[in-house]
Amino acid sequence: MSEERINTVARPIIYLATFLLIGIPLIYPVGLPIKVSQSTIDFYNQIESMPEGSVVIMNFNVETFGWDELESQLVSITKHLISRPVKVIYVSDMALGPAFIEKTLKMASPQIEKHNKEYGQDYVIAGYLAGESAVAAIASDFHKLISVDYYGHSIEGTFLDDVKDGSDIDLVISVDCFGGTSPYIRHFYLSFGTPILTGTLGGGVPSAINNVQVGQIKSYLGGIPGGAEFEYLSGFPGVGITSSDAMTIVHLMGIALIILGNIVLLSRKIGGRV
Amino acid sequence: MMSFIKSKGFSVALVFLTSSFMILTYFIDVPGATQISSDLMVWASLIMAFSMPLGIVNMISRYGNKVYTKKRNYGFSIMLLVLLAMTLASGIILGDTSSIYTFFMESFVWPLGATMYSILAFYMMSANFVAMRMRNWKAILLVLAGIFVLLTTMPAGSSIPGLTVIGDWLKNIHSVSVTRGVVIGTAISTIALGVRTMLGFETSALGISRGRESKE
Amino acid sequence: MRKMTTIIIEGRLTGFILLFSFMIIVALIVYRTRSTGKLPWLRRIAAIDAIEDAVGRAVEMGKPVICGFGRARSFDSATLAGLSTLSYVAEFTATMGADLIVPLGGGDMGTAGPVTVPIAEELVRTAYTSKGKEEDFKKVEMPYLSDESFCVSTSVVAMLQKLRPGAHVFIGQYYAETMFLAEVSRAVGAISIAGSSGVSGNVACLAVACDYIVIGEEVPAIGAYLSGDPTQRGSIFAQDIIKIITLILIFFGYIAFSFGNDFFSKLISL
Repeated sequence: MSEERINTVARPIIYLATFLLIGIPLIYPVGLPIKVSQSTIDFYNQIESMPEGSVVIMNFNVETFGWDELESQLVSITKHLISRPVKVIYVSDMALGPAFIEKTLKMASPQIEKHNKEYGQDYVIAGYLAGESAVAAIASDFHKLISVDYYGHSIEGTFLDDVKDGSDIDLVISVDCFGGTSPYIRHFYLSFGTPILTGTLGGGVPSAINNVQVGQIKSYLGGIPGGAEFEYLSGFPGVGITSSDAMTIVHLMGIALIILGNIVLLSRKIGGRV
Repeated sequence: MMSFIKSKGFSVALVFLTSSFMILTYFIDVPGATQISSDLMVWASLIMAFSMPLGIVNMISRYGNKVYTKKRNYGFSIMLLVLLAMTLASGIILGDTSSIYTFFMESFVWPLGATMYSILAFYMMSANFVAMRMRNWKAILLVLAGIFVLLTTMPAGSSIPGLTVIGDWLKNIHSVSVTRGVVIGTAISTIALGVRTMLGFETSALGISRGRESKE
Repeated sequence: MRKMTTIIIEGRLTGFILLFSFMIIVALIVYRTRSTGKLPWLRRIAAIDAIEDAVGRAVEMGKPVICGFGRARSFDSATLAGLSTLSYVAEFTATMGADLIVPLGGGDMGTAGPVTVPIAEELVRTAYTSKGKEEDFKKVEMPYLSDESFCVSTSVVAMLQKLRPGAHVFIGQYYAETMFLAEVSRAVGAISIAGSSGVSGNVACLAVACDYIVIGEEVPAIGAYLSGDPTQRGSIFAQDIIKIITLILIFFGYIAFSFGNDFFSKLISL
């Protein structure tokens, strides 16, 4: 197949097939099996093991492009944290992150109402942290950097009165698409031994496994499959489980295209055109 | 006085002193130093936050110049500046939790950002067909590894018998060892860049390019 | 974990010794290289030769050359390598008379973004001036595309599809957008020379779709090689020495651990 034919015939067909094979399972889920991996079980158990009154930082290191892959993780983790008797500080080290925090909490509002969670007593949106220096600053002296929440209200009178520095944080969960976990490892785990959980894009899984093996993070969730597994385990099904069918089908399509491309190459070799 | 503050020597001295202080306070617990390092970190995060308005000023200057000089397709520049102004105004005046700002985010920014990232899927599929060809033994290994990774990363892949065991072995042993090597290399590279910046050998980060440096 | 029993905080002594030893090694070697002017030997990377061939091919076909230098979110070695490569490519386009297009932008609200743009402009101007082609510099297109790196990448993709360049060089800090750039470069028939450092640089995409790639530690090395800067060259040499020391430590640690000896584990946690 010549380059021109690839560009004019094969590519449009591939693009159309990709669109249909992703779109149709999203609208009509097939129900392909999902097996929960050990890392997801460890992630879930770590949250479950947090005693009542624990303070958790949940970091939304997510931008517009990462949201679609990380939505399942973010929403299911948030809902799960709301169902637990823990206090959560929502932060983000991306400029658009706080908007996603609000969006996620809106999606979790049925759980907030069900468990009678009160803003200021059970959860606070601290807002945007500009870079690693801000993470280091809150680990060292929380109130020096953060005196108001995302809405501009003073944090006095909230549960943050008892949070002085990193030693008062019991767990950090960082869902990131841009390496947002590393500052927490450096300034919370290495300084205070704070357990850390991370959610990553699919491509960030090798780095996350590396961190788990050396003990810097307790566990991880990887991409849409990780989110789907956590949704299933935590009992909050959502977009992850729906997307996993599409993801499986399009992966199989990718394999089929690789095989097809090599059949084309082989036929050209046999035909003496290569 | 101003010429001294603007000089390369002063910039390098400032970088050296603050970097050394921050590094030493990580290892040595000196009373009072923690407070100072905490203040420095707060200042650093404020300076980082300033990069955003700097980017906005940069954009206004560039696209404003395009409109002023009526360069080709300057209509798009006008559209960009108008949308920038509307988003900024709604965020600053009405607040970033207001419905108008949220409307801009949910109707324009998020869908466009998601669309751009989603285009990757189409290019990946076409690359699977066009580029993943077994032309030599290295390419054969690459293609086989690619097929294996696709099988193990798909959500239903764990249902295929034996795949999880082999996949976990490859992922937890081989993939991680490579990652670890790269991370160590990157860390060493970062230390080296830090030393060069602290000692004034590397001045690009200070905004002093080689051409200007040679004149000083 | 924090105890005031010693000067060095508990658990950080080995880190302190290693860090300062490495910093001293880098400082001494870079200082020596700068003062003696004797540049350490660096292996010539295949992509460097390919740049000249690619620009020549673009000139023969009457097509432009597009050269990017990455997201520039921070001033790391990949960004510096991208800028050095840009300068090198600009020298060839100036000499051979090829049209050069440099897409500017990116940064993603990072600290380096706004600063790299004037640096890139100045590097290209200097390259053209050094070849006596100041007038041709005015024909170099350096459009500022966006602050967001994905917007820059999609604009570059549009440029590739519209202009169908003869060569596309993109070495620097690239992440997910490598797939776009590599695949579309291939589709339009441009010779693509690409490089991205780090694990998340989508090296696999580059390996599959590009003609020449520069991966991992080759990225800062190419920057050092092309710039001929004694600082960068000395730094690469120093990093290699540190890596050898690290390998020796890893090797002995592995041997000791295999025989059940936890000496190195205790040493690391001092």
